[in-house]
Amino acid sequence: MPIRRSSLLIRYSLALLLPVPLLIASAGTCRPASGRLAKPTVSAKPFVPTAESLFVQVLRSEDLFPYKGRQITTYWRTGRAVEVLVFHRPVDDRRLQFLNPEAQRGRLLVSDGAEQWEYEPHQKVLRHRRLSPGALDDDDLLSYTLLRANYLLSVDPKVRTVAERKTYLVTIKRPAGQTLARRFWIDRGSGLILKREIYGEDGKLAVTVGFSDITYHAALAGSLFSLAGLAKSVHVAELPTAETAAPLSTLQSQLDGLASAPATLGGYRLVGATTTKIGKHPVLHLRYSDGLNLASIFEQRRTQPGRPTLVPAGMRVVPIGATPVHVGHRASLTTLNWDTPTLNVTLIGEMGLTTLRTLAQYALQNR
Amino acid sequence: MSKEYHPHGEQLSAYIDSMLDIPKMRGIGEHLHVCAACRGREADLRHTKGLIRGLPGPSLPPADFWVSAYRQLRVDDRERAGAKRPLWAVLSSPEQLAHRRWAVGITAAAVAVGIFNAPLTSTIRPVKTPPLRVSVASTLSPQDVSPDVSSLAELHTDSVSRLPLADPDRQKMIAADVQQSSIPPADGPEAVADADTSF
Repeated sequence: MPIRRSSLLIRYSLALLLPVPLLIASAGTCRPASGRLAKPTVSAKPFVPTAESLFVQVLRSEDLFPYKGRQITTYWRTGRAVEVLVFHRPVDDRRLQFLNPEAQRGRLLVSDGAEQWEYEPHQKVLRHRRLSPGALDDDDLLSYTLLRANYLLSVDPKVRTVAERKTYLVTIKRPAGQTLARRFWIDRGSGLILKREIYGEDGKLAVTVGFSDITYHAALAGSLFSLAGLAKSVHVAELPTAETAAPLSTLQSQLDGLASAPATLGGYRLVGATTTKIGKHPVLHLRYSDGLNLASIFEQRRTQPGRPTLVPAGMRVVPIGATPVHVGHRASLTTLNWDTPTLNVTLIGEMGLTTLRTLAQYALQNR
Repeated sequence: MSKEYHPHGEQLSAYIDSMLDIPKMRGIGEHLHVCAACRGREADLRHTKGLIRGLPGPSLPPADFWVSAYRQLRVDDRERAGAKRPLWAVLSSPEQLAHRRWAVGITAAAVAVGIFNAPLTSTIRPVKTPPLRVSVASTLSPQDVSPDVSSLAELHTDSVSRLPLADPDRQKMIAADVQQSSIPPADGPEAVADADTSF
């Protein structure tokens, strides 16, 4: 994850403050009233950190170690697996080199946190685009507040081994039905998430992303993180997806005052917004998070209120209340699109239809 | 303007439409003040214009006309190339006939309105009129189109990557998959779909 420098202070503050109670507690136990040193005692229970402290460790260190590893992503519903080599160099240099499936072998993704280059060997095309700036409101504490409010967190006291590294296992469950939402295996030494499992809303395992091996001592040449040489020999396609951050206080004036930006949609809270142009049309991008998932709402002003907005072919129509909503799927994303009297609204998320439908209902009620 | 000089029809029409410059507007106005005959012609002309304005416009095509026409334009490469099929075969296809009826109706109505309005709205000075574009597209502005899903997917996955516990590598893959559209969905999203897909 690219580091947002403005949040580094928060991260380090949390990381520094966290051990203070532990130090105070340990000082109290090691200094008896008599003034003599107590005989060291061996605790019967192993130390188990809290989920919050582990997440602070993740935030503090995930971008700060260079590493090279083999990562496998498995989509259990379709059986598709993608194997990549990952190279990371602090702070934001990252390279993904696709190994499998065969159709994607040779594909490269290189980014430095601000720009991304993607090489497609079969089409011999190099796609370049600027990455969105600080997309969220840059408040990790808010994310943890939402996470704690919406989910149940626990840490397994047993240390597990992943990619020959010792890890803590953090489990996140939904309060309703206690179904699994995520499981994270966090490297005890580096704080890197070595494996994660993503569960669907039915509680069934949907995706696994994990390292099969990883080394923190690889020699990482600078040339690994540049595809500039390729740009001379292949076609370069520029993808115009630049965004500008929009302070939450200005949202009501966006899109000529027609923007609709409710602060919450059920358990999801508005955590950030940006503006961009797609084609010639200004688009407002609103981000709603429950601490674990993120849904995007894109609003575009309608110029032909009398006629329905055209949507891509293949989307099916389902009614939500009295509003016809178009639903479509691309890769693992689900898209909902509907018209209000003044806006065309697109809701995108990698989540189940039930959740997206609920979010759409909240959004429609707030207009 | 003297009482003996009576403005002709085009001048009166332009006067009613306020299309003349200020001295000419004032001149014709003063003349109408003193000439009952021209006042009568001006009143008749104003009444005629009012009647024309009150005529119903061309009826709009059915709601699915634009969607089907848009798809027709987009997906049918063979017909778009148009080289292999004779013109009569293209025009006599059922879809074309259905669309053509509306196109012909709207175009005829547009031409008729143009013919009726032309002598009434022209000015005294010769005006260079643009060529009459006989097409359906010119009668109505383009229909709104929802934003491109590939672009939205990129922006969305960028945002997800910034979440504290996100998996940025997989988000990059998702964006690339959507860009390539190489991963056809079988019966829904492949990642975290729930069991309820029946709404």
